[in-house]
Amino acid sequence: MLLFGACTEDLLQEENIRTPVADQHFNTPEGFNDLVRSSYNFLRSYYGKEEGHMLTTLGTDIWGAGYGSVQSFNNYDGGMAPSHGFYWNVWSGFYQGIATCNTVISRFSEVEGMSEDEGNVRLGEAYFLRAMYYHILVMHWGDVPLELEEITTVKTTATRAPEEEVYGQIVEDLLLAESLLPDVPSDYGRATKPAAQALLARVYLTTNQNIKATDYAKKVIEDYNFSLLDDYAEIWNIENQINSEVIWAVQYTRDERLNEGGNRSHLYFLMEYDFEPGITLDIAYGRSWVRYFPSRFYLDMLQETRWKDSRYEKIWKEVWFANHEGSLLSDQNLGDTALLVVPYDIPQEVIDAKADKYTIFDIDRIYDGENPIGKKSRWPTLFEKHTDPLRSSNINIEGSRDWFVFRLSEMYLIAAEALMKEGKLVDGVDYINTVRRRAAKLGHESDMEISPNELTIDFILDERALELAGEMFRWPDLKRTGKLLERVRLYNPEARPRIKEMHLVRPIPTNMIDRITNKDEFLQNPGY
Amino acid sequence: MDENFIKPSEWLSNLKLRVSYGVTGNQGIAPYQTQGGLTRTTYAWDESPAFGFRSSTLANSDLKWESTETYNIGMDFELYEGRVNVNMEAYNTNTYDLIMLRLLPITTGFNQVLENVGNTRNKGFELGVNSVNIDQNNFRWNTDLSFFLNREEIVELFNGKQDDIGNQWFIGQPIQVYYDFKKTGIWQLNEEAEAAEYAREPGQIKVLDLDESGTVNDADRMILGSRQPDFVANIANNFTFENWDLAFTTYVRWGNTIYVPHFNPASGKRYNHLALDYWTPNNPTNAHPRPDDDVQGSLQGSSQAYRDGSFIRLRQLSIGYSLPTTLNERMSVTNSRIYLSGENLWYWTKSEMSKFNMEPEWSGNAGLMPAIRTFVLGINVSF
Repeated sequence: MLLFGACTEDLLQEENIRTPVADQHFNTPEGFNDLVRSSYNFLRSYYGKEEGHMLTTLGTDIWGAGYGSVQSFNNYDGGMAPSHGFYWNVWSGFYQGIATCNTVISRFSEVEGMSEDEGNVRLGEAYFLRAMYYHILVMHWGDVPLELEEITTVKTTATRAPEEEVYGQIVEDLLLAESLLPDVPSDYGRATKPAAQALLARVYLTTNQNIKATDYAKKVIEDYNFSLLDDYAEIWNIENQINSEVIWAVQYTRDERLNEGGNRSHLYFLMEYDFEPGITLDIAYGRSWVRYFPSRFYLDMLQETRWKDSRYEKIWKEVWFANHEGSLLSDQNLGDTALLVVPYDIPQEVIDAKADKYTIFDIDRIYDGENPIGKKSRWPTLFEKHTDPLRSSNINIEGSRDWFVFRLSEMYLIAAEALMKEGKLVDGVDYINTVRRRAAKLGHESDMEISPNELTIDFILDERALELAGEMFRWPDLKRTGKLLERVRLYNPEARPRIKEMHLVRPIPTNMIDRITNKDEFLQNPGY
Repeated sequence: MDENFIKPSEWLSNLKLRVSYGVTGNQGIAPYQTQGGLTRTTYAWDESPAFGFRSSTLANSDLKWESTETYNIGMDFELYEGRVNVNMEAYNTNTYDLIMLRLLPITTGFNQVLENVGNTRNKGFELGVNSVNIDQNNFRWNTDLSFFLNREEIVELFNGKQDDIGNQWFIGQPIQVYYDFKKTGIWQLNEEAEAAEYAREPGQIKVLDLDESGTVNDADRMILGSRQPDFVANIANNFTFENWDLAFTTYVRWGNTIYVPHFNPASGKRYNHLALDYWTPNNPTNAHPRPDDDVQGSLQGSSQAYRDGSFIRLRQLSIGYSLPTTLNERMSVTNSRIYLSGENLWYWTKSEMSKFNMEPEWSGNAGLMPAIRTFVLGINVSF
């Protein structure tokens, strides 16, 4: 017995009555605004996250890897491999952000019903964000694929555009953004003209276009109402995140529904304080993930300048008070000093004499010369910039601090460096002295000032280590100034034997290389 | 056996031959799945919500039906007046335009797309034998055996016969393979110089430098195996003697490679671990690397967790006693039987999974739970 059943093409007529959702939604003002808002989302894959910190803090001259860290990122060994998730998280987050910006830019002309003013500002935001994403990608990875248009069909190839081309595109995008963006945002956190100018200053400095860098830094300093706060500590007041020194920040919130992962910086710079007698974990002291450990070089620099420079005492922590009844020392009460961690030497007799009252870690207990002693878990702690006592509990890792991407003092330092590179030391020194005077302890302003011939690249790098500590600048600064290999070899004993030229760029993530079909053209960075 | 050219004989009481061919389509696609979708994103302006929407699914207007074509040939026969029944079957199934999620380079902004990714083939053979081995003097023993093997392979992908490493799809291999570094041992103290050339130290995992390039990188990954078994078999033996019955079932899965997450422990003393054989200077093993409190996981750590997953398992064993008719009548029941049975009583596998009593039978990563033995004591009564 045989059965036949069949249907031929002529009998079935098909008509597609649905338009893809993207086309329907994104050409309305509401949809277009949705799209623009979603372009901001991917900033949170880097700023305020472990990925961003790991890639900019470790492997430099002023930090070492605490025991909770991925040590490979500091000592440039085989663990810095293309397969490591951190590279992928930043790469994939940022390219999705870029794709969203490209969609905004591609579809801008199709939007109906939106006012020209609003539309232009939104377009400017997309150009700014695209430049933001690319400037980090190119800084870490060198030649990266330059995608500039919305993609609607399956594309499995990619081409690495040379660095110069990427930087050229970044500048072009920012100049457009500058012309479209307002001075003051309609919603706090949106891109603004000064933000675009600040990024231009930074990018021009990186590409050695010093005159333009100076011009743009000056624009940000002079054309708006930004001003340096008098008290360096006040910048980090968590209740005062919208202050006159902040040019533009990535947003995080107290409302956990909007926070999406939160700002986690409060975890990374803390030492393991709760293992000492008399102290236990406490939201005021934070949850310690023991990641970043100041190097001997850095501690010596901080100690040497603290008599005149207020920044160490304002943002670093040396003292913890007893809060744990159950582990008090014999002569210790709640509220007394329980732990002292300092970057100078205290005579052993003094340490022993105090042993019943509080624990002391002086520099000799933390460091033996330049080499960290023991478990790499006790150190003076960079505290005030990131601490977040407003979280719902100490366990909660999602912090609410906005991440300041551009602060006014960076603009002064950019101007100082750009002018120095042009040989204009007298002009340059003015800018750096403004930052240093603000940082000075009361009465020591003139001690903090420097003379023009002291303005060198090394001095500027040291100043940036003091001013911009823990703000994701160090690795980029060293790379940009060509000092990465030199300073790491001088001051980072763990990286010294291994750091090489190839480490000036990061490995392209495995997932990227595996998935493209033009593998002979798209090569991995050499050495990885 | 009704045909003229063959008649029942002493030993062959029935013979049937069957052949089939068919083509089916796959309609397991969710509505609107191919139209392209948006996803919501979260952001904020200071403390106010700033939700957005962006494209998250790539629409594929070229997507077409997946079709499967099967050739099947089978033979059933009976021997010795029905004492032995055999049925066997061989098949060859080709699937065209297989619909799967294909991973894309993220520079497009999309992570994956639903596509017709290529053609696969499944060839296999099934055998079933039921035989009554002994049947006399109130003693009966019969055996049921089933045997099954299947070979899946990717015939072609979207680019022709080219491997796709990004999705781990390789021509001639099953859809799921393990593609990773091959562990050859642990660097020992006397190999310190050679280890240094590979940027390693004694105590760390040693993997095969496949292309002999002098460094260990992604080009050294290779296909280590697949979860597809060489064969699967199940043998059930049943014995009855007067009112007693005894039955046991043995299950065999042979030739599959598995990944056991517990054999790739995260470092750091805050995690609980199995008591693995790990390297120390006094214990120069090649099994597991030196524990290191400073790192979260070993380099190429996953390479230490692949095992031969073949196992033989005593699935079930039961003993029962049917109460005699006289007793039944007195209790006014038709039948009653008391039994004791055990499930998953014992298994054998080559790797150290059995030492830790890990459950060997998983469809994904293996050994995530302990193997559980069950005992049941019961009474069946029918009225």
